[in-house]
Amino acid sequence: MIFAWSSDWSPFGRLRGEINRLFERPFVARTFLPWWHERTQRFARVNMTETEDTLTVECEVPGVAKEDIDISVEGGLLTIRGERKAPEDHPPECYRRRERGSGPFERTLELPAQVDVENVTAKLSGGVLEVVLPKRPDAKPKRIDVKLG
Amino acid sequence: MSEKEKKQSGTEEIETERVEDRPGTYEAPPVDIHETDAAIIVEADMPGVDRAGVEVKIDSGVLTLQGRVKRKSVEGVTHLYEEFAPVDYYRAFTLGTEVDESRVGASMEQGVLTVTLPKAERARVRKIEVK
Repeated sequence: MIFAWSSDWSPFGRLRGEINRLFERPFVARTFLPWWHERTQRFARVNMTETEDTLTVECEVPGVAKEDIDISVEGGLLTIRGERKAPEDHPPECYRRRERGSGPFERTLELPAQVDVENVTAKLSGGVLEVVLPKRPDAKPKRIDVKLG
Repeated sequence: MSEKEKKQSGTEEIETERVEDRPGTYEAPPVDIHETDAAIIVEADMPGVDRAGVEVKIDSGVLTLQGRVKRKSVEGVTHLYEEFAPVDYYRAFTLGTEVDESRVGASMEQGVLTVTLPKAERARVRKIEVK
């Protein structure tokens, strides 16, 4: 299921879209999207998947250095914060086309299961950040045998 | 027209329309294009693509960028929230005569493809010393 961005570009349309999304998907906390929301809406997109044992969050961050990413888990929320640095030596007039953008970004997601914070790992590969959050043992599904009485 | 405007309208680096008869679905990666005295540099965001999945081609004045996104196994995996799906990247540009096609170079780093298009000798900016 892919959520399409609202196609109504007026400020009210966007606000309405944001509010709709807030209520439609209650387990994902709101995020504020500065410079890159306006441009292509494609930077720092996230996916969340789940297996029996883990939650996995992927975030697209091409061109961001490992040192410029900060991940934290607190109160059932995962926050991915960082910055894509603009190259220092390019004056604006040397650009013929500028679609990618640069600057700080932040995504916060509500985790639908309790996780073992001590064992959360993150890997950056091919410009995609992958955060693996093992579920707490009591948060895993427990199978209950049905006996015939 | 001022010198700067003339240079930009003569850019000839026009993005061609995506070819509709390509099989499959593609996403156009966002690009930054800037220039130095010696070259034009194209940077494209292709997260999820590694060096092996990238293809850069120049053919008859058309620069084509393609990226194949690594697919992951979906066994036992439930999707809870999805803002991006595995879609390959494709984008093409028409190059002007200012580019020396024989010396084009490309590199791929953390999902960013950088293509360096050296300017042909006569297109380079040469500063003339006034005595």
